[in-house]
Amino acid sequence: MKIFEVRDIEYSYLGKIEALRGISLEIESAEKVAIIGANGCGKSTFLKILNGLIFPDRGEVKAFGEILSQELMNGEFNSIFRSKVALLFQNPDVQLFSPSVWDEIAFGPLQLELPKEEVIKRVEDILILLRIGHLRERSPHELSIGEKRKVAIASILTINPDVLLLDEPTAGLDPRSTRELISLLLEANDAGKTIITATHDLHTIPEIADRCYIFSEEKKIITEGRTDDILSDRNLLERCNLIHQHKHRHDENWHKHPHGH
Amino acid sequence: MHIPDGYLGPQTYGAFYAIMIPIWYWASRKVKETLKSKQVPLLALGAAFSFVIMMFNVPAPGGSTGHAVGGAFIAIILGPWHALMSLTVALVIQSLLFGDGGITAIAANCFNMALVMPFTAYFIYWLIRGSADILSRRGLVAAFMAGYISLNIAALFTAIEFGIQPFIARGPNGEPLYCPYPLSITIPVMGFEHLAFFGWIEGGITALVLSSIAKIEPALIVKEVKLNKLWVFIGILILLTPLGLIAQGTSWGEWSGEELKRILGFIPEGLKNLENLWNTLLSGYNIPGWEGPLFQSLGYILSAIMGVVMVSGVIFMIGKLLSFWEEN
Amino acid sequence: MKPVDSFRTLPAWLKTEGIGTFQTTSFETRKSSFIKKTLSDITGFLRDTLFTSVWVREKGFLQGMDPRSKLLGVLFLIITVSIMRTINPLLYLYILSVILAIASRIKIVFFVKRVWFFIPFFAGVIAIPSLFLVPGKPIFSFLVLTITREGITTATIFVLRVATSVSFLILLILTTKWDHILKALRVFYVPSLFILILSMTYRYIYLLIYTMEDMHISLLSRTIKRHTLQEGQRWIAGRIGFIFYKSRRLSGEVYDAMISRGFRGEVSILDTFRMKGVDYLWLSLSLGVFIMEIAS
Repeated sequence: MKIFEVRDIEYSYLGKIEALRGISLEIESAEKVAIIGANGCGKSTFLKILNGLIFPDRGEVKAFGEILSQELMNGEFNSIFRSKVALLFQNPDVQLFSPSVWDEIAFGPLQLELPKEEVIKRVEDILILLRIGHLRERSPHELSIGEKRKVAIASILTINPDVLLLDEPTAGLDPRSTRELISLLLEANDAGKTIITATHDLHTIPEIADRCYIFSEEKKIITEGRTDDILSDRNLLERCNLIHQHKHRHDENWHKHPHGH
Repeated sequence: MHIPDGYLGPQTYGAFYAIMIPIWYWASRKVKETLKSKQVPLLALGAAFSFVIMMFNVPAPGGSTGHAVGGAFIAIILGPWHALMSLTVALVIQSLLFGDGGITAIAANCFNMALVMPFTAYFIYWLIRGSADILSRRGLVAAFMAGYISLNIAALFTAIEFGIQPFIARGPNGEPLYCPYPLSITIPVMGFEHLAFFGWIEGGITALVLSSIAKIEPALIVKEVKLNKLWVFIGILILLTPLGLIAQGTSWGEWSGEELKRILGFIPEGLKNLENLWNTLLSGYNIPGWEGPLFQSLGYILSAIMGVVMVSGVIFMIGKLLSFWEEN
Repeated sequence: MKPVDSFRTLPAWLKTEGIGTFQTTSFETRKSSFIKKTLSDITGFLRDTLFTSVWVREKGFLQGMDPRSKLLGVLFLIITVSIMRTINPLLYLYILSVILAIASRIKIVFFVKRVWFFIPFFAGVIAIPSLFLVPGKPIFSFLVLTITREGITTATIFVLRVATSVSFLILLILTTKWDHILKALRVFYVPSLFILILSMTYRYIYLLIYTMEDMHISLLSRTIKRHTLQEGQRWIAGRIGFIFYKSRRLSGEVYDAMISRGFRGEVSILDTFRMKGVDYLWLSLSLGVFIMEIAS
């Protein structure tokens, strides 16, 4: 089943600053897809469009066969869509607005009007799963950046969405937490969840995506394809500013080689 | 300017709750109309902003520093109703979570800093600026005056609230129970501080902040509320309310017109009539058995509500008549 | 984004040694007093909230209570304090607040200090002149100044009243988690949307304060010569403008994040508050004190 069908969309902020130009793509259910691009290429904007938070100026986005629009989102469709598609924001400070970690993780399911017992169960399970039980009483401003990221992830997992839109999910996580998050995402994908990740962290892409799209600094899709093929095309990656010649030292010798972030 | 618990007697703080609760209700409806659910983060961030700017130390002449309340430029950039709600939230948090300003005095503090100050500032700003450009000399003078005058009016109200305490409540031997100084002391003291020092800081910061915001986002500062005759009268209503409250003190025989005359130095003719009106309306009010302080406060609050409703009703009617008259 | 190549070589001036030498005396300590003052205010603010949150975790009398009954009881007591007309009952209530502090395992020195040294200091300053200014029976004369019996009564009642109300408010703040205080406002029928706004405000105050701290630190580290008054004020106004701009953008983003998780203008607040025996005891105590005062 097709989850998203995006046809030739354009978007600009305040009608002036261009953020996306002529983007088209399709995403199937239970796929793992990455949107790759340097900062400012429009990845975050694109995820917000997929999440039905903003709407394109031109072109159309179909989700579950329906064309997303403000009118559609004002109606019945909204609560179904919100329980199926969740977005992890790039800035966790934006996503953590509740007084405590517990309240934060409970916010989504409470909004979906799940029974109280179910809400409590989900929150407790996720606290164990992500090993953040000790943070439950803390306020967001008392958390480190890595902890904030984990709580933000927890807050969307309790919704139990079919589609996870992740904006730089591993930024600020230590290597061990990154590994744990990736295996968690893979397990979720095996269970049938669709995972769409926007990132410029090339190391994690082979694991979290089978397919990827590269957004250029001209806010267009330059290329798409299987992850392995794309990541082996060094020239392409350098052209998109995803890797650059890096000067550093090996055994007393300085040398330059391509380096990704 | 945050009044702590214990400075105001129950009659006064109770009356302020009676005034503020309907205003809060009205303001929240007003804000909801324009913004729907988007108001939640907007108000929260507006309130956080209002809280934080009070922490800036502003350099002042002679190496000293002072704080700005910010009520003036918040009103000009957010509009007065939003300013009312944002500042209320900030003041509630200061009192309830940081102990800055009393619980019983929340309504009085909100009256001074979240109602009187932003509305006065907004009114003065657009009155002086007219259709001039925001960064023109006239626009900047308007911003300065809005900050300077609104802070002083808020301070004046605070001084009045303090100053009426010795007349409202006295102990068994006639000693004051709450803030011990009469108007003849509180008004000059507060007035001097604010006219000579804090007002300049507030005015200067208001003008500077507005010009800095105008440079980032000039489209932001727009007149969203029409300043028609009705607004002028609402302004007068706000000014009249505490005078009405002072006049009410006489209902309990603690304070005669003569005394008022001595304190204020003069007594407006209209106020005298208002006082007579109160006495007539409320003469049957001192029901035997209602002598306890609680019941007295209740009575006081009740009549304060009545007073506010009546004054606003009259002013509303005058406003309606005027606009009707203008149209024809 | 600019192509990376343009950053590859440093301009020549950036590779030279900076001008100027250290002259310890020429750096005026007062040069940026407003920056340092704000920074120390921020540090003080953060330290206070840290110290405040220490006592919440103690297993004391007030900590074990349902926040709703605690808030209600504290309010009854503060209102009672506000209607008292003589010294003795005020003194009893002040003693009650100290007993409550002990029962809640709050270090008594900390508690008394917090109440007397910081908040009603101003009240004390206000009260002293009233010793002389309130007319009445003279009991002590010093040159032209006369202390009256009424003056002493006024000053004592005033200071005691402020201190006692502040004591109860501080007890509430010290023994209750901040979000529980806000959730407890439900007992006064405060709409849950308003409670959400209050708690979001508290949460984002910290974000803005950290931003503000960074701004001041970076200004301090770049300050070479003394700021003129005008420069200082201009800088502050610019920063306030920036914080406003930032908070407005943030509010739009936060709104998106709320919508994304199903927010549609209504919230249900989940709390785990339970009234226990101690709550009924506390409520009857505070209500009893309140009724006694009215009856007398």
